[in-house]
Amino acid sequence: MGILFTRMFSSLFGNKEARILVLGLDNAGKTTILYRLQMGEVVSTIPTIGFNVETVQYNNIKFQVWDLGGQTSIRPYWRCYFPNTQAIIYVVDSSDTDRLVIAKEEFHAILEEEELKGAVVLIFANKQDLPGALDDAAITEALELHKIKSRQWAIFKTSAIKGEGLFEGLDWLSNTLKSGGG
Amino acid sequence: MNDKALVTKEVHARHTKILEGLLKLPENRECADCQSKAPRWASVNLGIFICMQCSGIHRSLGVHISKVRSTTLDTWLPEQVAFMQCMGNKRSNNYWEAELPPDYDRSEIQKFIHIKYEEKRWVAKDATQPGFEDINVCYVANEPVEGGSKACIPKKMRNFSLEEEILTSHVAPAAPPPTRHRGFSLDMEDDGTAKLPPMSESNASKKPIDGKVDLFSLLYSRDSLQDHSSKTPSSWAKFE
Repeated sequence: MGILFTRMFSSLFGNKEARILVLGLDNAGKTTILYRLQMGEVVSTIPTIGFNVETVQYNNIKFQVWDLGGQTSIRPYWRCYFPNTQAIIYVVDSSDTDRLVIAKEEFHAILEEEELKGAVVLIFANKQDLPGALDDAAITEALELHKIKSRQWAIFKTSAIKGEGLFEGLDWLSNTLKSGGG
Repeated sequence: MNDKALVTKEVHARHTKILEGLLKLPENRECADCQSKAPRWASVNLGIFICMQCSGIHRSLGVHISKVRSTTLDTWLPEQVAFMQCMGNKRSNNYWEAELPPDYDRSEIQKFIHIKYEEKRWVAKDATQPGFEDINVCYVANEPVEGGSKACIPKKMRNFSLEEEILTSHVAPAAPPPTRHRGFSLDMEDDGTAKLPPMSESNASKKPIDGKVDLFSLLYSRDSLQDHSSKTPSSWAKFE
């Protein structure tokens, strides 16, 4: 019965696929988030030079999640991945207050990209487990999210290490994408 | 902060050259933690050069303990470069590994790094963390800053009573005070191109041994010439 219901459910909504880019400064937690979503585990990471890509099935959506390296000189390569992207997950290290200005600048530069005009934006205020981490309201202000126009966005407090907030974010993302956003 | 907008291409090229020079010093040729050869990453607040593997572990500590940057893939601020010049693996380990048993097994490197920097188990009881004040010595020193530890005054190292918070706030300020910046630039002029070379050829020939370094070089050389300025000094002219 359960299986039948699941089949009926997925035929109703179809098996929607979405291409997601995970962006953010180096050491924001992008790779840890990717593998936490995909495997449900905390993995040991090294800096990503290039990208990781994984498929995450959630809420009847098959998310193709691209995690791109965040070091200064490889950020310009992000744009190679922009076409056909339905959503951006922008990850911020909420405890790295020194670099919030840079995080803001990179974020707004992304929003101005023509190829990402239709993409919805999910912000993860990550590393909430660390001392001195700013909350979602403070990150909203630091990233000047109120300046976002004609685009659906949301911010969630997350801790990839503890596994908090990530799937709440994905819930928002799947609902937004199903209702036609992105 | 690592903002390209704050660091011109010319300054970036200089920084790259200085960092390359620092990486050729005997004390910085091994990862400060696991001792593997040819580290290419750094902790800019601890002032150490580390390998990619250990950089991943440092990142997991959080930026309140360690701020990791790549010597080849990131843009550095003048203060960060200056701090690396003044600190380096030897001086840093004199502090962090003062009471480390000589035969300590580092094979569980993640545990080792946690104990070393988070638990601070091997720091001598009366010691204070060598801090940014050392850099002021560098700024005024006539010695070439390329030598790093030589330009500082090691004897004073233990006497500085700089708190970690103060250190952190000084290592990455949003905008460096103009006076300090000027002083630094003068040092940079002295340091510049002339004093690095003799070792460069022998070192360049060693590079292929480390697969990671090779990969970085390849990736990097494809797009941005400025990061190979040491190998192609003529390209400096293009930065204007």
